[in-house]
Amino acid sequence: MMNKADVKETSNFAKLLKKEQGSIVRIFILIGIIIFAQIINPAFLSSFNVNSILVMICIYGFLGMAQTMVMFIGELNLTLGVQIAFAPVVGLQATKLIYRLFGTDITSSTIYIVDGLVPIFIITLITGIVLGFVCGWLTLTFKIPSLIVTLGMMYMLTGLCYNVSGSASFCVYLTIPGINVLTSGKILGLPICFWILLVVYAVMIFLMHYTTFGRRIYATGGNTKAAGYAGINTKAWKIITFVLSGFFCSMAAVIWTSRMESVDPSQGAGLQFYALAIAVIGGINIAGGKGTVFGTLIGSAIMTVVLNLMAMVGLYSWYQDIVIGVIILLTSLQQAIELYRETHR
Amino acid sequence: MRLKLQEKVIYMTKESSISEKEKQNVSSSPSLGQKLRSSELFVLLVVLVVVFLVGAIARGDHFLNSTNFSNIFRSGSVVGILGLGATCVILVGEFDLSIGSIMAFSAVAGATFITKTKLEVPGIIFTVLVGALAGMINGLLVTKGKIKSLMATLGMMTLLGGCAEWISKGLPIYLYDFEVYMGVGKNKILGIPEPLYFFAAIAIVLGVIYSTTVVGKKIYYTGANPRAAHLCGINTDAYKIMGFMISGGCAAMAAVILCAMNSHAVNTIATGQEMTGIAVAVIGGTMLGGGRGNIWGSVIGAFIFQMILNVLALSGLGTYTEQTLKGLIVILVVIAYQIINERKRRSR
Repeated sequence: MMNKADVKETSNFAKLLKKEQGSIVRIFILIGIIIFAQIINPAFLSSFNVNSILVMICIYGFLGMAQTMVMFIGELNLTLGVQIAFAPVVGLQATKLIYRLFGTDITSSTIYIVDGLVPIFIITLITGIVLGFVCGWLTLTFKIPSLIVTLGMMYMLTGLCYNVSGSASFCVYLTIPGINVLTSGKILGLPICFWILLVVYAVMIFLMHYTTFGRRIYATGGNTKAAGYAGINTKAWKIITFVLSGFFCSMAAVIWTSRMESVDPSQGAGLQFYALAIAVIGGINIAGGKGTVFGTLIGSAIMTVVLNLMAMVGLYSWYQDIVIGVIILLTSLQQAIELYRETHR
Repeated sequence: MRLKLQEKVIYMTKESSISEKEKQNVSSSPSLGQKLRSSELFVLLVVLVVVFLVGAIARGDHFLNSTNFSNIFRSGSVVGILGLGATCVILVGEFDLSIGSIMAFSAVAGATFITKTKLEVPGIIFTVLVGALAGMINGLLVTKGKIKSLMATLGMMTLLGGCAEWISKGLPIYLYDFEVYMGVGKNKILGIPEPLYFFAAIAIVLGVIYSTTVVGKKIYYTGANPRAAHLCGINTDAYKIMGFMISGGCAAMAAVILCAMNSHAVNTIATGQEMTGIAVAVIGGTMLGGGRGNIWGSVIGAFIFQMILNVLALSGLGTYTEQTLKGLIVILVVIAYQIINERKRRSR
């Protein structure tokens, strides 16, 4: 045990290093993969490929963050994949309705949307927040495991997606000027969405590790009962994490829409498991109260680079699945061993 | 002083009268009606009958004919077998997300085996064994590897899904030449579709084991409190692995029936079926977290689930609305169970 003097002597920087120990190891792994990729295929670090990797990191980063937020409190969110489609579809239809109320039609020849970019994105974000709230509220009011709530929501949203889009199983193209500004527009050579990602992550790292906001969420996740006795409104904090999860997922949906310049009711299917994989690769433990936000960023980077590398080498999609499966199993095994060592010291 | 004493006496007499009433309650065993009302199976049966009546009234002859019912029995058997597997895993307090991928993997592996060797019955047994083996790997990862079952089965889901695609190269393997295999899904014995016999056999074996034998008791204890069960000398790891193996085997059996119904095996066979097992188990009254629920509940749950889907399909709402309502049903059922349980706990 350390006494008080020792605690004072250890600087903030050393504390940070200790907390981010896992992430630092992962950064080295990431650098290793990048070097390996560059040796295999010199086109890996070409500006075009780097740009597409950065955009994908944004999508996976926000998705991973969405899963991370609920995993901090030991819950899960399986609606994330469907939400990537559902939120923009709702945004699109609501915007259409609003414009129709004011007498303008923004659709041209049924599958092209020509106006209303900002309302679409804003309603997409609001939808995500509402969905997150509904999931959290159901989970906590009725004390049902979040796995089953979000599972039911997943089924529901998959169906609703097509119902809301007017049973159109084809995609709707957004031919609005400036739709791709998030992914193609650049500031200092980096895509705008990447800057957004960095800012959001910086804010979240600050909130989670340096304010009471984060400390309360960590406490709730680590031991809900103890946190409750300590005077933390655990129910409220859990709902807040669900709302944040929905919000970040909608951020991913916005970037996805901006990149594809279209909305397809079937997009994003299965991404909830990718989100889970990213969080686990980033060192977040499913038991709650463990891991750092920074880890998720590195996790999403590793995921993107590995997927990109496999696509570049020309591996079939089934090899990608196999590799991701093995990565998930190995990282969870490593986490399990770490936990075993901690408890049996 | 005297007043207080009086109060005390009154209080005591009140208490004694209450206790006498309680004693009477305890001594007179609850009537059959009370017993029935409190049992979850009875409630499930009532729900089943209600769904049946709604279907019969709303859709009439479209619902009440032998073709439709053999369809319900066929699909209900697939769903039910998946549900039984999921129940076995949930009862020991774990999860199996890999059911869908085990279905795909074992179906494709089995079909490849059959087309290569032309052996049909061994091929079906091989398929089920592959499923059970995959389940055993799940179980070993969870018990010996100490990985949370959610993560382990998630990893296995991706891994096996990839393997299934790798073996089949994403192409369907046609099975028109194999009549015994195809018969598993298509034949009728005594006018009843063959899948129902498989479902009944699995349900009876599992149901008897889980509700009457010592092994069943130990499985329930393992699920309810693994630590206490372990300290009582129950080999919890073995029962957990067994649960996963049953789940894998059931998934493989369901895959055989589905493939036989479709006349081909393909790696996308389980798309949309990944979570059906869990949904059926939950409708059947199996509580997530382990140790509560039973096999018979899942059997009835499977038919409720399939009959609701059937009525929805017949009413022409379309696939998408069907999907929406499927999700809504799962959530509502869980909320209903939660409220009932909360009341029971309060009244106790």
